[in-house]
Amino acid sequence: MNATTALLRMLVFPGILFAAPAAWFFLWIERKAMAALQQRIGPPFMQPFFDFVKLMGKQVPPREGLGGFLMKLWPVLAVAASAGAVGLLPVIPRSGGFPGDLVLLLSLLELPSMFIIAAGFSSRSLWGELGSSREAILSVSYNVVFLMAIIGIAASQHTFSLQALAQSQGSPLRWLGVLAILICLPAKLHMNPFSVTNAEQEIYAGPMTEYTGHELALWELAHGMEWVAATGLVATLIAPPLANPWMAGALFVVLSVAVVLVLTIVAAATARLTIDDSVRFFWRCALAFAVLGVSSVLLMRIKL
Amino acid sequence: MNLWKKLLCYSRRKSPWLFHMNSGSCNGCDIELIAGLTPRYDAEQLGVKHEASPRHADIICISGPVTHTAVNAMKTVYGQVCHPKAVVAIGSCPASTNVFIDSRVLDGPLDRHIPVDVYVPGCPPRPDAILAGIAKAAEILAARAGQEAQPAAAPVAAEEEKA
Amino acid sequence: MNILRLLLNNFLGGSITTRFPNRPPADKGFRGLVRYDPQICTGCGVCAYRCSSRGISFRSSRTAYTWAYDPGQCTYCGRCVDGCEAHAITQEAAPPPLYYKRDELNLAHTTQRPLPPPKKKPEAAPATGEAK
Ligand code: SF4
Repeated sequence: MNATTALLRMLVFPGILFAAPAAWFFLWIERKAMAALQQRIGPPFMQPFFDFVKLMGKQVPPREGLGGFLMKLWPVLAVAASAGAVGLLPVIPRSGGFPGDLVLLLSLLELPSMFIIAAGFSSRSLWGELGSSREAILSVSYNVVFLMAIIGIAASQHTFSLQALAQSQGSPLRWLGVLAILICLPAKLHMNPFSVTNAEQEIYAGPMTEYTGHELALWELAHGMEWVAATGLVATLIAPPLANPWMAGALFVVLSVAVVLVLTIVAAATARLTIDDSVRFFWRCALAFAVLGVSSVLLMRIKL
Repeated sequence: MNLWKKLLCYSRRKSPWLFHMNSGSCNGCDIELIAGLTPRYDAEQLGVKHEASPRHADIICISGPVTHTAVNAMKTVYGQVCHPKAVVAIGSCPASTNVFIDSRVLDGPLDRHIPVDVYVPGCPPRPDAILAGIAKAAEILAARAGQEAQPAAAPVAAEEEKA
Repeated sequence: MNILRLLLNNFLGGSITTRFPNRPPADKGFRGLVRYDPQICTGCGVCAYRCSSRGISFRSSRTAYTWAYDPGQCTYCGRCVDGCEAHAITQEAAPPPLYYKRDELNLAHTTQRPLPPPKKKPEAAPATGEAK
């Protein structure tokens, strides 16, 4: 992968230029599916795009000093990080990649939630700080499970390259890992039942309480791209290897949308857990699951 | 540039986000507003999102006859909603203090404090009437695109943190 | 698991939403805007007396009386309709329309009182629906 292809992947496909419409589309699918499950019509087509444009045209109150600068900075960084994460996805097989890009993808996926924590604290709003501390506690809990699941999968295939993971056959252990990842995704994407972070209405809008206008628009975009990246990661792991690149790309998109639908059904079927319960869930149930996965992978390697 | 303006106008009409404020209402109007979000009326078909933070909102829905205690909070909220914004007065209460007229705890009606764009009459109004009011307010919002600033709340609203 | 069945049924059942510009029809006994018929009104003023929110005001002098109505003030309770002996007041069975300025929907009617001895019949009222 040389510099031009890297740039192309970052900026055009599947980076920003592709990821932004995909983000809006995924957010729309999520809202529409939620509406369909509740016997509603739901938002018109591409509603998140109009939300984005409207927010871009809204005034932002004057913010001064370092705090104001940081409040402008965090959403931009979050968009950059999640766009980078989307750019790493092997949507079309054999389109390049490098050993260890899985590690980079994981860190880029983790960055937006860090920025959200920082954003809540720098907005100096009580509700923002409350939301940020919740996000911090939650991300400490789910990330252990998430990373363990990924490590288990990677270790079972002896590789940290997304390309190789996408090409290899799935094993039962991989499915265990994918299940663990799916359990963590609602927490990563602030969906029910782990939506304590932004807990709409309960603590106003959590870390986003003070953000308006283009800042909020960028946050929404970053959130949508996180959706694309996270569901794309799962799609990479579960997609069977196909020879035809177009077929593979189409399958990738279909699988991502399917993951979105699964997450939406989970969100529609559950209610918000309190922060104690979510953390307890991750440390007690999901962690056992992930430890089981990783240890069995390691044991298998010893036997080999 | 012109295209962007048109798109902006269109989007403002398509995605009104609400902030609902209760200024001492009997809860009749609040329940009807929430009924507007239920499957039967589904405000989301208009792109409406019921936002929790006034910073995110475009349209402020105010119900209730504006009690003395609510006035300051209401002005703060009005100041916190950023520039293109519209106010919808839900029910007869904010329009005229309704049956609570002459009560000593009231400082109404609403338009003494902040400019109101749409009144939805009724006590309480039906959810579909509230939706029609919101759609109208969204149109007013879109027409306001060119306007630079908006009338502030009667004595200029204090921009203070909501803590 | 019950909830999943519920969601499935919801999904298969399709949406039950009323599309936006359509509105569900008002029920039969819906209490909407108050309508006033000056021809029938006897000028007793009991509607203003019964009004729970001072939406109706009634000013009367020796030669004329004015009936005024402020829909913004009205609570649509229907007490005026119930109390009107002559059935000069009715209520529309449709939700009241939106309005954009205070007092936009206000109505006022002034009716001349019949002069006591010579004339027996009340004069035809000039039904002026102009804003107050
Ligand atoms: S208008 Fe009627 S229903 Fe609404 S808050 Fe006032 S009294 Fe309650």
